[in-house]
Amino acid sequence: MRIYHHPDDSTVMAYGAGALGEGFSLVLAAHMEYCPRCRTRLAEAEALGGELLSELPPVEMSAGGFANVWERVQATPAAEPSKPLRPLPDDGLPAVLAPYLHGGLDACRWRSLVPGIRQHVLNGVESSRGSVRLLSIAPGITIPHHTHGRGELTLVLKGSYVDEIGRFQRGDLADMDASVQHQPVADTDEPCICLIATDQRLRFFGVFSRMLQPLIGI
Amino acid sequence: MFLDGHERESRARDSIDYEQRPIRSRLPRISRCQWFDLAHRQRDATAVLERRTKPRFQEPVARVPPPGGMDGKAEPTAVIRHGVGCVVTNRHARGHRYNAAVTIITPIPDTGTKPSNQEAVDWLRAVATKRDRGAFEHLYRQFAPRIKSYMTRQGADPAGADDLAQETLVQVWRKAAQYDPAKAAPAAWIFCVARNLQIDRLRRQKLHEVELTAEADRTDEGAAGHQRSVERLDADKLRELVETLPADQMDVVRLAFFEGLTHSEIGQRLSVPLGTVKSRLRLAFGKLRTAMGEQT
Repeated sequence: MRIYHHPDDSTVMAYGAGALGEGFSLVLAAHMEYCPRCRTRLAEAEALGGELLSELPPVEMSAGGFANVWERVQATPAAEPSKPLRPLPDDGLPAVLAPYLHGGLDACRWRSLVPGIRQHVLNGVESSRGSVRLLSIAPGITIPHHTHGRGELTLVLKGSYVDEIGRFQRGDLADMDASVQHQPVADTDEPCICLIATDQRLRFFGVFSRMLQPLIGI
Repeated sequence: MFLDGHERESRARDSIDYEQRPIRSRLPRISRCQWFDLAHRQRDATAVLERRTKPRFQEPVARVPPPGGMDGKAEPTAVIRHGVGCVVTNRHARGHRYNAAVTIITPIPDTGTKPSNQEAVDWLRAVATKRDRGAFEHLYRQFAPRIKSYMTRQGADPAGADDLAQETLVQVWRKAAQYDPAKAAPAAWIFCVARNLQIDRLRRQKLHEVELTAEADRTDEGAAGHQRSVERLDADKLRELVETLPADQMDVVRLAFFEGLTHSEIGQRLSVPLGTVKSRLRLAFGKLRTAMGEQT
């Protein structure tokens, strides 16, 4: 599996720094399960974090701090067992999505927005004023021209789409901000299913799309 | 003079926006130079105002302590020099130009007290395999005060930051067996433990982490090359690299890492467009990656 589209380095750094919101970090973690290149970048960002941490001017710990910590670790002497690590997703979904998608994509309760476009909002993910959702775009269907309030991360989970930037297939991630306008079209014979996190509502250009927006809630 | 040896002029100059105006018109306004704009960049910093004469810099004319005062230990980390040019301080970049030049002097890393990479690896191993109290205490002395500093910057109050630093060390003890020196430097691994705790406790967010089996990395074709470069990450090399980055890039990196600001928040804080924030991050990261890739 080849990945052609990656998050911006600045986004990877923000993720490594722990400065991304829940929604964005979910999409980014999902992409990284597919993408060894970005896992390496993340490791590099974390190495930088470690170095910056070592450089911080130390602040004196409270008296008895170590004794306190020692007492606590003695109270629970057993080492924490390593978490069962996850295998790389083969055909399935990224493991990080599992808590939100019981039963996989088939079990999603899709809601039709307009003919050919269905969505499923992931509950329990905080994403500022935006949201995290799955969008299923039927073959040949176009999402009207729009831009993004502040940012949007889109990860393709199934199928593919084409827009002004290029062709996005499974594992590809589109990292877009307000400067990007696009009009994606699902371009294979299966529906294109994307995981999308936004931190603000989309801005559509067409009058019709804008009238529709309050109804469909994107 | 306490500034000796603490100056990083060439590095800081990149971030200075000079304005050429007659020196006379600049003089009266120096006293209004606002400290707090600088303070946002580096909270431990002291601003030192200096009058420019010949030879180039004279004694400081004023020292402005950081908000909250100094406890007598922190090094001065900023110097505002008079007459060199004009500073565009971050918050009021558009409206206010102060008649001083700023040299941000970053604290000199006290290399003497920083653990070498190998030492810290040994301590973590001893904790993992032998449950060694001495090694654990070394880790505590080296990292807990810095984690406390990190947590404070992330917005924890002093008592909370102390608790979180202790909690981080407890987790380091519990998770020590999971540490793999081939994959990350000890500081990087401990940073991740602290960061995850910060996300959970301070931001109160769910943690979305990438946790893959080692086999996954190995069986993945594309991963082989990438994995090698991760193994090559050398903490000592990285330390040198960080010091060579221009100040404007480091400011953005520090705000992202230590204050947990989003890119647009960093842009607002520094009064620069979002695109500039991203490109500075990209540049800084690119330089580090190139340099890390080049080492043998």
